Amino acid sequence: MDPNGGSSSAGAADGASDPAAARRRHSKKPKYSRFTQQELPACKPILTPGWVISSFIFVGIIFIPIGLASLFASERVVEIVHRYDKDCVPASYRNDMLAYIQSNETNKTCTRTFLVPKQMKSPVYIYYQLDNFYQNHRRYVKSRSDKQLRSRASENDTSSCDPEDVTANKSAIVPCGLIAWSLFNDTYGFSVNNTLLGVSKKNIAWKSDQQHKFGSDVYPKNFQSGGLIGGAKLNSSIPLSQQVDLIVWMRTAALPTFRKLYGKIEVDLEANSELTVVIENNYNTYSFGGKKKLVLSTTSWIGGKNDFLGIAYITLGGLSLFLAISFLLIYIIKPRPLGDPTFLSWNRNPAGHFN
Amino acid sequence: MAGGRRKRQHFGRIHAFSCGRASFNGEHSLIGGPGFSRIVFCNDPECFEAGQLKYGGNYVRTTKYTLATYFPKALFEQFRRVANIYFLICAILSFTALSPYSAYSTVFPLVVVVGVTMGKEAVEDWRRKRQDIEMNNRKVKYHRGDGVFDYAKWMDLKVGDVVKVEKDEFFPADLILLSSSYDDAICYVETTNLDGETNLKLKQALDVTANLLDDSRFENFRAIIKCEDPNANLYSFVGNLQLEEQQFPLTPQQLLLRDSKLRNTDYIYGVVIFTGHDTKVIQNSTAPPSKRSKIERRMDKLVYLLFSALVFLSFIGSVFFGITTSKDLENGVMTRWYLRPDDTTIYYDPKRAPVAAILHFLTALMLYGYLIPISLYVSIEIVKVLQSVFINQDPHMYYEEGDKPARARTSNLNEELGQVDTILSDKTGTLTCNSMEFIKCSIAGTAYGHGITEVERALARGKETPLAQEVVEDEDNVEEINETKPSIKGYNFIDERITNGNWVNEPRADVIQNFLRLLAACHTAIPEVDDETGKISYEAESPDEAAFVIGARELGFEFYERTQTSISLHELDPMSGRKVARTYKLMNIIEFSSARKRMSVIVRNEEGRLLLLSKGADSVMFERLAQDGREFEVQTRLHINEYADAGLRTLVLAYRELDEEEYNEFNEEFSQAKNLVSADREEIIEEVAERIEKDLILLGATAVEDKLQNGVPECIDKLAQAGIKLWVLTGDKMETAINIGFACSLLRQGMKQIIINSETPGIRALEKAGDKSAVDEAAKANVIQQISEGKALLNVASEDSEALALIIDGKSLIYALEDDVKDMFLELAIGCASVICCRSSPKQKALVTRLVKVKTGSTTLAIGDGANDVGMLQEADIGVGISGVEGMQAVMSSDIAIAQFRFLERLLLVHGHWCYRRISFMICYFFYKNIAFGFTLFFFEAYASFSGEAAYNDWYLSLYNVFFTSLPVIAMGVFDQDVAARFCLKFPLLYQEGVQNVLFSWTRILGWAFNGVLSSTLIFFFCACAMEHQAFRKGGEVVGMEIFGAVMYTCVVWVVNCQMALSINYFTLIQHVFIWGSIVFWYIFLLVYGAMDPNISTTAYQVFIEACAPALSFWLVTLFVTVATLLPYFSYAAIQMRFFPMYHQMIQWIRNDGHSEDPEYCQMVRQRSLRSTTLHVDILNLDFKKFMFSFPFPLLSNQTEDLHC
Repeated sequence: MDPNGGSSSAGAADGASDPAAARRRHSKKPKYSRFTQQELPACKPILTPGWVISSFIFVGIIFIPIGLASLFASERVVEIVHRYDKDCVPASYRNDMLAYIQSNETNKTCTRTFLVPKQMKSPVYIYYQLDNFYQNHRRYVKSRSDKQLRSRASENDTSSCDPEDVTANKSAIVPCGLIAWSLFNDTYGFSVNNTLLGVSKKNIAWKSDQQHKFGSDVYPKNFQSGGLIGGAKLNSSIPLSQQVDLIVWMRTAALPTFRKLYGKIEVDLEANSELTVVIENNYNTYSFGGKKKLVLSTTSWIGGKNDFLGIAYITLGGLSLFLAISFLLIYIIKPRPLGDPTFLSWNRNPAGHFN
Repeated sequence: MAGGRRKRQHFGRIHAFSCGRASFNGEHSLIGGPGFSRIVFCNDPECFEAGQLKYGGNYVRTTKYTLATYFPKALFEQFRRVANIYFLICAILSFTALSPYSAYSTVFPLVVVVGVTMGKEAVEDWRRKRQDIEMNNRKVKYHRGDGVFDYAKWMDLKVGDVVKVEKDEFFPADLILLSSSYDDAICYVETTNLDGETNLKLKQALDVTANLLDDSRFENFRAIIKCEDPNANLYSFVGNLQLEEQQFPLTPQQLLLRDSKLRNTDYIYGVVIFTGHDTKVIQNSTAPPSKRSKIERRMDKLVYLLFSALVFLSFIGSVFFGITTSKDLENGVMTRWYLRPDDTTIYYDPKRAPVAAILHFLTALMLYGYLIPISLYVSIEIVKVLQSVFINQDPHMYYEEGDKPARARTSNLNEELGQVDTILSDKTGTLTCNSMEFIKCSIAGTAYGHGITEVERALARGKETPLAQEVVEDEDNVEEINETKPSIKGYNFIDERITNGNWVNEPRADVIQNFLRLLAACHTAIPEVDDETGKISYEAESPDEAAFVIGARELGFEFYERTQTSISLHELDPMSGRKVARTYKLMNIIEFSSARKRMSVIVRNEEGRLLLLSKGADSVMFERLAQDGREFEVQTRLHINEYADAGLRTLVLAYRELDEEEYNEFNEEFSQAKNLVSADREEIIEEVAERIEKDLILLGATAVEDKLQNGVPECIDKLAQAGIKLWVLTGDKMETAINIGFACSLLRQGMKQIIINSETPGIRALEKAGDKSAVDEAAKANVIQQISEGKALLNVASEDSEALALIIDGKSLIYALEDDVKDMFLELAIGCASVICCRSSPKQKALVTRLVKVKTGSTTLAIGDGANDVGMLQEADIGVGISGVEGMQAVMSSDIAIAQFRFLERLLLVHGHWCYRRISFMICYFFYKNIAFGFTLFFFEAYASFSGEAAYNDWYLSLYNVFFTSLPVIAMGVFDQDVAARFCLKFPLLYQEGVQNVLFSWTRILGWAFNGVLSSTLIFFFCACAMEHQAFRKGGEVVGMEIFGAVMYTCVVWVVNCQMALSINYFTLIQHVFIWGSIVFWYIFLLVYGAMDPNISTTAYQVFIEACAPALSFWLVTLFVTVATLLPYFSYAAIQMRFFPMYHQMIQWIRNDGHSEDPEYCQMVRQRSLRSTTLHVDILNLDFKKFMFSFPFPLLSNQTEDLHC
C-alpha cells in the first residue's frame, strides 16, 4: 500500500489518535509570545488632571529659577556698543561715503572716545559687529577651499573658490575664495586715560580650526593681488594657522547681523574711565548699507549679554504656573466626568451614521 | 488498495451528462491550424522532431524576479512612485551646481529607502523561490525506456514523457490519460486546488489506449498528439491522438491538469502534453489582487498637497532671490561687493536676475524637499508587514479543528479593516458550517426527529416563551444523549420510534422502508470502505447528499457499494429483523440541476420491478404527484413549513413503479437525447425526464440542518453594536434565509420586515402565458412599487426609531439593480438595519457589492467561502475568504483568509481598529515631522536672502528621515494601542472612529500640519533670538552657522521625538528605547561625525565637543525650545482629553480610574453602542444623563499606579 496515502484518505468516522497527534506536532497554531500577541508590558499614560497640573507646576518651578539665573548672569555682563560707520566719515564725505571709503587718498583714521559705564573685569572681549552682511549667502559660503587651507599640498585645489580662485596668470590664490578675499580690515587701538591698552589675539579662534583646519605650512600667496581689492591683506610670512583674524572671519555667521571676535583686553576697565579708540575705518559696508559697530563686552557663564533666554524662561515658567492654576480652576468649576457621549463627533453630526 | 481490476462497465451511463463522446466535428477541424499547432510525440520526447519543437521544460517559476532581472525590474517598480521619482531627480540634479548640498548626502537616503524596499522584495521573492524548489523537486515515476519506470524530478519532465501517477499524488504537468488501474480506464480526480470544488471528477481514457496496463507495454508504445496551444481555459481542450495511422479525438475528458490529485484510483498512466508554464493552471494563475486602502489614497493626495506647498515655498523664495540678486548691481555699482556680482556665474547674475531666479527655483525645490517624507512609503510598508504578522500570529483567530490560523494575504489593507461600514456576507459555509446534518423527517404524514435546531433555540431565546424551558430541558437531554453516543458527522436524528430498527413497529412501516430505501439509493455518492475498520464513508457532490446517505446508513439502510450498473445496500429486513444485502440494478440517473430542482434514479430491484426514485424541492415535487399518491400531502406540507421555519433545508421524496414498456420508450429517448451534440441538448433531456417524472407517490420529506458556525450570532451582534451593517447575500430560499437571519440575530422579533418578492401570483400567471416582455415590465413595476412602499415605511420608522429589515429575492434584485431603480433601492437598503438578498447569483452578489461600494463611498467587506463568492470578494474593498470546506477558490482571491466567521469580530474590532489608528497617526506624524523640519530651512532662507544655503550640515539633513526620527514612528505603527484588545471588544462602538474616519479627517491632518508649522516657527525664532550675536560661551566666541545649525537641529530632534512621546498611548520598552534612543543617537552621531577628519565632517568638525557641549547656553536653549514648542500641543491635548474626549479616550478614562470592571461605568460609555438592531437593548434602563452629571469626578485622584513607567 502506498505509504503516504493512508492518512489523508482516512474516513470521516476514523477518530484514531494517531493523526490527531501528528496534527498537533505539525500544528500551525501560532506560538504564544507577548510580542506577537501585542501584550508587551507597557505603561499607558493619559493626561489626567493630576498629571497635567503637576507637569505645569514642575515646569514652572524648574524654569523660573533658571530664568532668573540666566537673566541675572546676562545683566551682570557689561557691554559697550558703539556704532562708528557714519561718525567716522568726515562731514565733507557724508553725501558720498562710498567715494570716501574707496579712495586711497582719504585719511581713514578716526578717534572715538567714550566712558566705561561699569567696571569691566578682564578679559574684555572686543567684537566688531556688521549689519546686513550676508555671510550666509550660498555663493559666499561655498567660495572657499578647505583642502587648500589645510595643507600646502592642495594649494592648487581652488575649484570651489570662483571667482577668487586664481590670479590673472593662473597661479593659485592662497587663501582662495570670496570669504577670505572679503576679510574685515578695520583696526582698533585702545587707550584708557591716555595709557595704551594691549589687544591680545590669543585664543580668539577655535582651537580645532588652528590645529586641524588651517595648516601651519600654508602661507598666504597671491592674496589680494588682483585688480579689485576686497578686504584685509595678510602677512605672507605667517602661516594660516596663526592668522587668527582670518580664521575667525572664515567661520561664517548664521544671520546677517553678526559679531566677530577681534581680540581681548586683558586688564580690568574701571567704571567711568575714559576709553579712547583709534579706528582705521577701511572696510566698505557703505555700498550695501551695512552698519559697523564696535562692541566691548565681558562674559558670564551664559556667554554675552542677551536677556532673551532669561526672560523667556521666566515667561514660560510663569505661563506654566498660570496654566496650572487655570486648569485647576477649570477642573473645579467644570468637572465634566468622563464619557459624555454628546461630544462624540458622530453624535454632534445629526446626519451621522444611523439616521 | 485491496481490489484489483474492476469489471469493465459502461460508466457513462451513470454520469449521464459528463461523458459525451466527441466526434470529429467543430473545433477538431481546427487542429494543425493557428492556435492549434502543438504536436506531442508520445513516449518519444528525445526524438529529432520533438527536439525541433523546443517546448519548455517542466520547471515552474513563480518568483517575480530572477537573478538577472531583479535589479532592473525592482528598480523600475520603485520609481513608479511619484515621490521616489522626485527624489531621483533631486539626486541627479545634486551633481550640478544647482544643488544646495553635496551630492552624496542626497543620494544616500534615497539609496537607503530604495534599498530597504528592494530588500523586502528580495526576501519575499526568496520565499517563493523556496516553494518553487520544493515543488520542482517532487518525484514522479516516468518511463525511462524499455518498459522500465523510474523516479524523476518534476522539473525534468519533458513534453511527450509517459508518467505513472499513483493514488493521492498530484499530477506533475498537464497529462493526457492513457489508462488506469480500472478496466475501463477511468480515474477520479480531485480539483480542489484548481476550482475549489471538493467533489471528485471522473476522467476516462480513450478505448484505444485503455489496454496499456503494464509498465512493460510502454516499451513500444508510440503515438502523436496534435492539440491546441497552451491556454488558460480549464474546461476546454481540443486535440487528437494519432495511433497506428488512425486518429482519435481528445476532449477535456482525457485531460488531467497539473496540481489536481488522483483519488480512488490506484494508478494511471498518462502522457505529458503541457509542461511548466504551458500548463493550464499556471496559465490561469493571476497575481494576488492588488487593492489600495482609502487611507493610502488620501495619503497620495497629501503628498501632492505637500508638493504644492513645496512649489509654493520655492516660488516665494525665487521671487525674493531674484529681487535681491538684481539689486546687487545698481547702475553698474556693486552693492554687496563681497559676492562679486561683477564676476559671477549664471546662478547669481544680477544682470540676468530672472534666469537666476528660475534656476534658484530648482535649487529651492531640492532644498525644501525635506517637506516630502522620503521614508514614508518604506516605513509604512515595514509597519504593515509587521501588522500582518500580528494578524497571522493571533491565537484568537486560530481554528483548532481545521488547524488554520488567520492569514493576511496582502498587507495593503490592514488599516482598511478598521473602516468597514458594510459587510456583505455569504451564508452557506460562511455563517453556517456547510456540513449538513440529517435532523428530521416526515414519513407518511408523521413527523419524526426530536432534534432542536439552532434557529429554534434562537427564536425561543428571543421570545422567552415557555418553550424556552422546554428547549432548555430538551437541550439537556440532547447533551446526555450526545455524551453516551459518539456523534456522527452529518447525522443528528433522535427519535426512538425510528432508530435502532424500531421503525418496523410503526403503523406505516412499509412507507418508512420505502422512504429509507430511497434515501439510500437515490444519489450520486460514492462509498469508501475503510479496509481496517470496515466502516464506510461517502464521497458526495454536496454535503446535503452525504447527509442523506449517512442518515439512511444510521437508520439501517447501509449503502456500501456502487458499481457502474448497480447499487448495493445492507437493508434491515422487517420480517426477519436481520441485515440482508440487496443489490439494485441501476438503469438510469437523471441528474440534479438547479432548473429541475430534483434528481431521480431508475433502478430494477431484485424482484425485477422497475422503480423511479425521486427527490426534489417541494415546489416541483408536489405538482408531480399522482392522484392516489397524495395521501399524506396535507400533513407533509405542514411539516415542510414547520421545517422551513426552523431553518432547515427540506426535500420531498416520492417514487413510482414503471412498467417495462414505458421504461423502454423512455430509455430510448433518453439515450438519444444524451448523445445529441446540439446546443439544446440539456433542454431535450429535461423534456424527456419531465415525461417520466410524474404520477409519483409521496413518501415524505427530509429536513437537514446547515448548522450555524460557532459564535456567529454573538459576532453579528457585536458587529451591529459596532455600527457595522451586515448584508447577507445567499442563494437560499427566502424562508430559510429569514430563519437563518433570526438564528444569527441578524433579524429579531419586533423588527419590521420589508419583503420584496417577485413570486407574486400575478407575475406567475404572466410567466405561464409566456410573454417575456410583459413579465419584465410587470415585475419591474411591481418591484418599484414595493421599494417605494418600503421607503414610505422607512420614513415612518425613523420617527419611531424602529428597526427595519429588508429582504429581497433574486428575481426582484435583477430589477432593483437596473440603472434607473438602483439608487432608490440603495436608499431603502441603507435605511434598513439588516438586508438579506436571497436566491442571488454570484454575479448579483458582485453587483450588489459594487453598488454599495460606489454609491455610498463607504468601505465594504465581502466575506465568503465558495467559488460563487469570488466576484464579490474581488469587487469589495476587502475580500475575506473563509478557509473552510469548500476548497481554496475563495481564499485564493481573498485579501485575508480566516477559518471561521466569528474571527471577523477580532479581525475588525481589534486588529482593524488598531491598524487604522496606527497607520493614520503614522501618516499625520510623518507630515508633522517633515513640516517641522522643512520650515526651519525656509525660515533660515529668509535670513540668508533666499540664496539656497541650507541651515544644517549636509549629513544632518539626509539622516533626519533615516536615523533620528524614523524608528519611533515605526515602533508606534507596530505597537501603539489606544485601548487593550479586551476593551476594543467590550466597547464595539469604538470601531466607529474608523468608519467615520475621525482620526484621518482633513481637519486632523491639517491640524497636524499646522502643529508642524507652529513647531518650526517656534524653534527657529527662539533659536535665532537666543543666539543672536552675543558671545555663546564664556570664551567669548560667537555663534557661527555651524553652531546655529547644530543647536536648531538638536531642538528639532528633541521636539519631534518628544511630540511622539506625548502622542502615543502605549509605552513599551521598545518605544522607550527608540524614542530616547533616537535623541541619544543624535548626540552620539554628533560626537562621532565631529571627530572625523574635517574633510568629511566639514562644518560639523568638533562642533559638539568643542563648542556646544561646554556651553551651558546650548543646553538651556535646547531645554527651553523643546518645552516651549511642545507646550501648545500639551495644553490642547490636556483640554481635549478632559473636556472633549473621543471615544477611545473615554475608555482610557474608565481604565485609568479603575472602573473598567464597574458595570455602571461601562454601561454609561457603552450605551451609545446599543442600537435598536442589537439584541440587548432592554438590559438598559438607567437614566444616564442624570447619573452622569451628578457623578462627582475626583480631581486630583491617585491615578498614578498606571503611570509608573
